[in-house]
Amino acid sequence: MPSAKQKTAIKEKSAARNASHQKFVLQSKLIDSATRIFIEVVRVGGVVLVMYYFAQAVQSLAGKNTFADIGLKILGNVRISETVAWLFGAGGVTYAYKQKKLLKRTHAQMGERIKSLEKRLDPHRTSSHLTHEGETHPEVK
Amino acid sequence: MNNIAGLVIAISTLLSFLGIWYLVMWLGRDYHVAGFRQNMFELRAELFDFAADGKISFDHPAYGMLRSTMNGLLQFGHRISLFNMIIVVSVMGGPPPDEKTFSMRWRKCTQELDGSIMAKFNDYRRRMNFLLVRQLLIGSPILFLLILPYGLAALGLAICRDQILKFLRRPIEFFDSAALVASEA
Repeated sequence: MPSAKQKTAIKEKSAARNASHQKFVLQSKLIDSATRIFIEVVRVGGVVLVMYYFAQAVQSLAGKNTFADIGLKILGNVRISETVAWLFGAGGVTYAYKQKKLLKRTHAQMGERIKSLEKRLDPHRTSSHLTHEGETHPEVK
Repeated sequence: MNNIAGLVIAISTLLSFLGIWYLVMWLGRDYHVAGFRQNMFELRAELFDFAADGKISFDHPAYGMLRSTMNGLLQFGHRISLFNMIIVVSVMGGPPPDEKTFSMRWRKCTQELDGSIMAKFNDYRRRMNFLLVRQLLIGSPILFLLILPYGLAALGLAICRDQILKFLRRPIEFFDSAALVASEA
């Protein structure tokens, strides 16, 4: 049986441990909140910046200020515009391609597991004959 | 070129910029989170199969701990970012030095494991942490936008995997501990 002194020591140690744990949880939450705010500020900040220049361009069209005044000259360069448009297009195609690859991987992983689990319950389970990546089988194309 | 033609081109450039921004900051980030989760799901499935083969009990604390941490990382994968890591390193310096930390609990859980099983579990842990570091570096739109040696980071990860894991052990320890605690809450 632990003495009263030992019991107090255990209690104190436990309280200190809990306090340390609580502090850790609190710090984690604070860091998490700061990160989320930072990411949103950067995301929305970029959109606001583009919108600002967009509004300036519209105002310039309305004759309130001139094209050269508002620092849009560089954006009005055909070569720069073409390059940015190409980057956007290439980025979109790359994103779609990567998403498709990821989807195939997910199909392959989930499909195999579902198949093996269902076969345990129904050994005569029939198949759709899609490929393991969920695509049309080459023979029926 | 006249003023109007220049403005139309400028507006077109701005729209393209907006599209790129959306691709990088929203779609790209979501893609990296989904990729991270898929990699983690595959690793977790491998861990499950290892236990299902009878090499370790599903009730073993090491299995439970690793799976819980993976679940925590899966759940909070969308919050893992480079900025997060920078704050962790600069402000906190790591998790509190008590037995709640991942490493201490890991040592306790794995100390009775057979040598080959322990090696396998340490490998699972190492791979889990590698996925975390990869997500921190490659999944960061800020890093991408700054074009910090993006390719070099990937190359560095491939070549110096263990050294990077060792160098980043404090923030990794934080993420592992947070994921485990969050998952068990």
